[in-house]
Amino acid sequence: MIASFIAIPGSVIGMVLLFLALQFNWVRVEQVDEVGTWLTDNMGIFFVPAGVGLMSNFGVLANTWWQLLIIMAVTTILMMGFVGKIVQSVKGMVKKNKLVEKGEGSHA
Amino acid sequence: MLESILNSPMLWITITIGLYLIAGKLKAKWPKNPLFTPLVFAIIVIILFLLVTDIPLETYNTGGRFFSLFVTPATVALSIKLKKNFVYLKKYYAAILSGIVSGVIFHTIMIYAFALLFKFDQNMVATLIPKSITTAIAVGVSDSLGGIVSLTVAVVVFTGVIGAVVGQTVFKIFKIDDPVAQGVALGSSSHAMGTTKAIELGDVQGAMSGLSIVVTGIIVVILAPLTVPITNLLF
Repeated sequence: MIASFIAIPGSVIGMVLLFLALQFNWVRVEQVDEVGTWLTDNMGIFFVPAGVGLMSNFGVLANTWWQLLIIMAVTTILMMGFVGKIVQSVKGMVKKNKLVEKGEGSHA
Repeated sequence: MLESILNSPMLWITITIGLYLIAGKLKAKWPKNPLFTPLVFAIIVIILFLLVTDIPLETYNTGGRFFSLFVTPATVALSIKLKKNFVYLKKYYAAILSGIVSGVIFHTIMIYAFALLFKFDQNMVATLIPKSITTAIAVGVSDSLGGIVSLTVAVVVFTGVIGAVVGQTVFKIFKIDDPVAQGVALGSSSHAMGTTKAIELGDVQGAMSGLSIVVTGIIVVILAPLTVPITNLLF
């Protein structure tokens, strides 16, 4: 159980804490907006060294690159279609329920 | 002389920033070419440069590691995006959460199926499970599950490129025309690169996609520990 908590990256814990701080107005958006937006807008560059680190994995890639390519293409396409379909149909259902509630005179 | 220049962090910092900026210019000129995505371009050119000049990765990292320092603060800053788009989450939470949670589970099952098919080992599964989320969170998940972090970065980036390229075709085939659904689908399956596509499609799509990056990341973080016993059982 403890091990599963440790598995949460520190950055994600920080993200949740900052969100709570913003939500409960301990920190106002204006106070962190400038630095925060600069960081997220230029996020790509922070991953360049990690990507260059791929060099040390050429051995793994030599044998698996085509398998990885298939996995990436198939799973990305299917996940996108799957999520889109579900969101679309659940949203449609919720809307319908709200309309029914409205029809019965309750405040929807 | 040459030695001391090569070992100076400033050289590698300058090269990295320079390539990133050049790619930005190229991207503005040829927006359709995924090769000019600044992150992709910088990684490829630097790897080629190091290979050609026979400079070891460690030498690059004397400067490179300074960029890695910013990954954590940038991830924390994602919550500002979440806060700004929180109204959408409140409004459509049922649709968004059910879509993303079931999507993440579906994605994990597909990864397991392919891993079994290709006879991958546990490290490879751990590398691929965080595939669809933003690099910042994917790196942490991959690391804690015992994956190959640098390979996760590459897989995540490539997934984003694929997502952005196929997005509109997928929507046509699966008949997804709702802007909220399109945004969530792009953000949850191909993170920030999908989001750039979503922004092109419209304001609602862009906001929903940005929101979905964070939500999907958090859901993967919560669900990832549950995959450990399954991985141990299957591989």
